[in-house]
Amino acid sequence: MSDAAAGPTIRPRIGRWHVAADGAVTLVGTHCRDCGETTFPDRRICPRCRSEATEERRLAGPARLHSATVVHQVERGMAGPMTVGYGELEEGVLVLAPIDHDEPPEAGTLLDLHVGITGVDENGEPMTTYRFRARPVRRGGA
Amino acid sequence: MRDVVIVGTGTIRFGRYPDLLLEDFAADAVNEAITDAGIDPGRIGIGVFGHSQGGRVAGQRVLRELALTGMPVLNVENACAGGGTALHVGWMAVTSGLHDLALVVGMEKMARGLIPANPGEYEAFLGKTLPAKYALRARKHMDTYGLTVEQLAMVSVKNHHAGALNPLAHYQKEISLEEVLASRPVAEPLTLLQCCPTTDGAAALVLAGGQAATTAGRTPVRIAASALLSGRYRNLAKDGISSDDDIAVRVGQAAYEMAGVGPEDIDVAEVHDAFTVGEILAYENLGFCARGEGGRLVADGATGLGGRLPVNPSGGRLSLGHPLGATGVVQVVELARQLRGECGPRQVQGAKTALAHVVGGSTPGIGSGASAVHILMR
Repeated sequence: MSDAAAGPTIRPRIGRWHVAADGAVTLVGTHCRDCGETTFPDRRICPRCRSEATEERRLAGPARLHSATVVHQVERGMAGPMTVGYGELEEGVLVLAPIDHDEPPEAGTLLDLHVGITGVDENGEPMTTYRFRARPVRRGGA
Repeated sequence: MRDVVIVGTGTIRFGRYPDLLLEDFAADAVNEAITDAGIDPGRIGIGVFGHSQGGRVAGQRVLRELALTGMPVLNVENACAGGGTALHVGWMAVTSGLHDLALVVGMEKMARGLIPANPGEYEAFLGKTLPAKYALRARKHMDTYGLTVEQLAMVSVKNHHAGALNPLAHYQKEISLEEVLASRPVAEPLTLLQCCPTTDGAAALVLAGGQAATTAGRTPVRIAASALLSGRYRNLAKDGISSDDDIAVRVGQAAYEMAGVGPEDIDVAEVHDAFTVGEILAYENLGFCARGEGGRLVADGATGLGGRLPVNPSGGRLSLGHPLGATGVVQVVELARQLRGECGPRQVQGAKTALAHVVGGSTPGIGSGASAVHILMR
């Protein structure tokens, strides 16, 4: 299967993602057929049981916010302050990603995945990564 | 396995030494430890050096300055746990009977600013700095157990109070709770004064076994346990514990089992307070209090000088300073001197059993790369 919509692998270990025709972002994880563990980023060997019987598993979100911080002293190539945090996916996987909001959402908030620019790389080129943003809360109880 | 005792301790005053080479100040620490041990340095069987940024064969370069050449020398790297790792290796060399005397050195001349991430630390490229890693752990603890920003800040106030009594500490100045909270944010809720400063330092120990242990000059302090572990894959959702807490619990249990003691037997401890929350988590993971009670432990004064279990009487990483590879060794220098009763105004009276804990090497997928716990007894 050709995967023209797959995100660029700017950083080899940053984790891969996929953007569907409708814009939906999924993360490319690994599912172990032996022990059932699901991990992200994708790996050839299952980190829990060392099995090589692993297969690609798309992880869709939403995630639930586990913990978040506003980073003021930032890594090179990034602008502070920036919010980052762990979201827990339905598959029980914790994923760290930048969060769009200046103030961290509350723990448990539903987060959607999207792709955006997180900083610049060592060549000054924009660095695209997966990111979280809080799912808008429906008002009015409709 | 035979008993290993600490017969010599040495440390420079921690601080910033822009005009000195690592070799210069590390040699001073080594010299002090050898003099303190009262041994013929020609009898040292092996030298083990923990450092992360010292470059190739840094240990040999230090010993060259002292004309102590020719012995086997190991340079070990385990990030912030490098010093504890070097001590573990030196302990192995002596307890095994292979060598009667081992020199263990922790040392670092630090680059300024944030410690740069390894290329494979993919979370760093998403914005997670090292302080942010601890900030996220703090946030989770606040949400789960009600840890407060004031309790976090109290760790820094406490450790600076002890550091002000330690002539070897980088910062020898009391700070107030208000100053800690008002300092600039680094990664919320952690402010600058809750993060260790950038510090150069070196510390050294002479370990002895067999005949050498009984003939050396000073009050011997026995290494009752030396435990070193690496992080393992944990899935918080499935396993109920993070890799970072898992390694700390396991390494503590391993050390208690080896020493035949429990947390209730510890009279004084040095734990890894590179960030305030690190000390709170160490209390809980090492069994000094129940899970979730760490904030109250510091707030109650239990871990201050004069408390039930003084923690970081040296000033800790926050005040003494945290030159990565030096930390695991200077902690044990401090504790050996505490057990000998040599610590003046910061002396923990009657201390007989002491615990040192270091952790380092943030690595996605396995949490902390390494953690060492040593238990000392007199």
